Amino acid sequence: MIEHNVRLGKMMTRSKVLDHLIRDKDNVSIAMTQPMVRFENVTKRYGALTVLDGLNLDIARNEKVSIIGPSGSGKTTVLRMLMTLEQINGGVIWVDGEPLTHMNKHGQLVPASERHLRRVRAKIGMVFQHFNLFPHLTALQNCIEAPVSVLGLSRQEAEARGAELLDMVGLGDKKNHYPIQLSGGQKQRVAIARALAMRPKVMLFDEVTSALDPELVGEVLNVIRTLGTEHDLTMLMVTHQMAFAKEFSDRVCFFHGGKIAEQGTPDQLFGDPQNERTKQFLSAVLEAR
Amino acid sequence: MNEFALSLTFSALARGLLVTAAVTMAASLVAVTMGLVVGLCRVSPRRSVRWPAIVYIEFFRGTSLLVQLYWWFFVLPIFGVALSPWTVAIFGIGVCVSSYGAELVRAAIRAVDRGQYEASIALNFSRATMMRRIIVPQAIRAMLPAWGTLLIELLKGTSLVFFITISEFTSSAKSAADATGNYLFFFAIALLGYYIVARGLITPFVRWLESHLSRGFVRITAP
Amino acid sequence: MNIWDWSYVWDAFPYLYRGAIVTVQATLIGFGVALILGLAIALVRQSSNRIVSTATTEVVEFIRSTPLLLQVFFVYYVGPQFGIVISAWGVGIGVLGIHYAAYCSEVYRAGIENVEGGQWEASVALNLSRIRTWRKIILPQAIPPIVPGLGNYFIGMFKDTPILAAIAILEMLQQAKNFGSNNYRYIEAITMAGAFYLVFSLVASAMVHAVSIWLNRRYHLQ
Repeated sequence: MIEHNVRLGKMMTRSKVLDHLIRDKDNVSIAMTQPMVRFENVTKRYGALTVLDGLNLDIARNEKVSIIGPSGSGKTTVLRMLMTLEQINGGVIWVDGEPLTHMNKHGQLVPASERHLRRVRAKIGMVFQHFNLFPHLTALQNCIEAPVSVLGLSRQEAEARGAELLDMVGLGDKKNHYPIQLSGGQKQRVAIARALAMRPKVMLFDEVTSALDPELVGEVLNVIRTLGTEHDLTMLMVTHQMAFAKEFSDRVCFFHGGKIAEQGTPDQLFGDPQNERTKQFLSAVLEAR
Repeated sequence: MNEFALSLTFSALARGLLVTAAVTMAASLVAVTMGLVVGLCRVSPRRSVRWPAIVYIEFFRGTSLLVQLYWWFFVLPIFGVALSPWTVAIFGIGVCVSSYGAELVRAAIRAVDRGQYEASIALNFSRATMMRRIIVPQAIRAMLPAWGTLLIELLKGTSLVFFITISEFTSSAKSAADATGNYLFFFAIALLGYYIVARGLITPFVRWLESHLSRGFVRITAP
Repeated sequence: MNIWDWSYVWDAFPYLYRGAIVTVQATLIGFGVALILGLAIALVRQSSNRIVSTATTEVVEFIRSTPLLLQVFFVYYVGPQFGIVISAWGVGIGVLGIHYAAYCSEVYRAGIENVEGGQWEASVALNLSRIRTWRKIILPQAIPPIVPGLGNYFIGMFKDTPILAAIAILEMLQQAKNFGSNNYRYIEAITMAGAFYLVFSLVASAMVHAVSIWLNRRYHLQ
């Protein structure tokens, strides 16, 4: 019961946060429409271990949300569930007003079929910590494989789009290189281009700079920054780059023990954290610097 | 078919199984011993030791087991060395399998972590001590599963002594089937027999060895 | 009596030549069967249906633990008992192919399992269909590294072809032996057969090595 009240309380603070954001961005329409992504009471367990416990989280259209927290707090799981890489054990995930993990059958929500999953998750793109580029394909081939075989684009169209995206991430001259010939930062930029080639509405970034040498982090963050300012994309990122999260996000969520322990604007969360755990985490991270 | 004949067939089948088991065990001993010796020679830094081992391995792996058996059986007598079918079976199969075993030994020794060699050098062990006390004990444990597979191959290989007139399990099953006309029954029994020896005896034995040796040589750290 | 008599070498040659053709044909066709069937078995084993994958695993284990010779006998003699008559040649190649398909399926499986999980995840994230993922992403990465493993079984199969003699297929070694018993001279023919196996093994393993390097380079895998 207490649990429940706490959760309700959180939902209220969250909607305030949203209102505040919307005024900030001077974008009135968002308040009217449904959220782009909604986690509704989502639970994830690995055997006896509960990784996420009744997660409720709404992400508005074009909102940039960063997820931070100690390892094992379930933050990566949030992205993986949304990408349908993990099955959920309870609750419903909604994308763009449609259930992702479930589908409507005679007015009831039943677990989604493969076909339904494929249709809804077409709106989502993901960039991984370890790039996961296809090693046997060139940078350009990596970017056109899915547009051709999934979206049904012609080869020329897909190649034109791929080349344009590789240009955008600053790799126009590397399009015929194989992943093994690229640096970590370059690989990650190809991976971003590859995900964008599918025209997603939501982009997920899972610790995309964690596997990079420090001097290569900047080039990847710059690409993400450009994306955020120049494109209509809802972005959800798990990150350890506190400075970037602070500068870039509309909202920061601090995860702890499978729950959102605290969330707010970057200024609130980094400047004036309320939760004891958040304070501990932030001071530990800042000390490590 | 009367009961007397049937019981005869069965006793012949049982004897065939015993022969197969005996040949398998004896040839395994030859294969393991020779495999270890040749495998260790194969990784020797000395060229005069290494090259004969390479020739041995390539020769016995490169020619067919049956060719080798024929050679021992039909050709050696020309040089005045007439080996009994039993000797040919045991040594012919054992030597052939040992060439595969030697490669397992080599691979396992190569696979021991480089740090172990470096630590041994840092501790100023002689090469012999390093091999005996540090490298080989770790390698043996690592190569046991592959030896399990190889010994099953050896068991299957014993069916080839059919061609050199020893009445083992496969050939006694065939004679029984020929005599009674019931091929399904006797061949099914034989297939099942091999399967049981392989998965019910050899695999568990190697597993047991593995856990036994782990206790004796390499301490398993708790996860 | 000489230990080695060159005149017998020339006399044995036609026998061995006829046998070698049979041996090489059986190996090539049999290995084609093994490659395709082995891949099919490996894919079925990846099935998410527990019963299907376990049953396939058990069948593979069974085939791998029983002698090829006995399997050849089984198919050759049991069929006619139920009115199914297959030619010796058909049985020989079929059983060789199935026997080695069991081995090849293990090799394929290792290759498939060695493809990083991230490749599957990226394919899901890009919404590729399952079939497309297998064909364009997983198999092109899984197969080049296992070519040496498959090649070993190719050579292994070649060396196992003499077993076909048991169902009266006149492959090379049987021809050599027949020559030996006709002339009471075994040494030349059997040694020549042995030399042929050795040369074939060495050449084939060099070829497998070359193919493996070429494939790995073609797909830019290290």
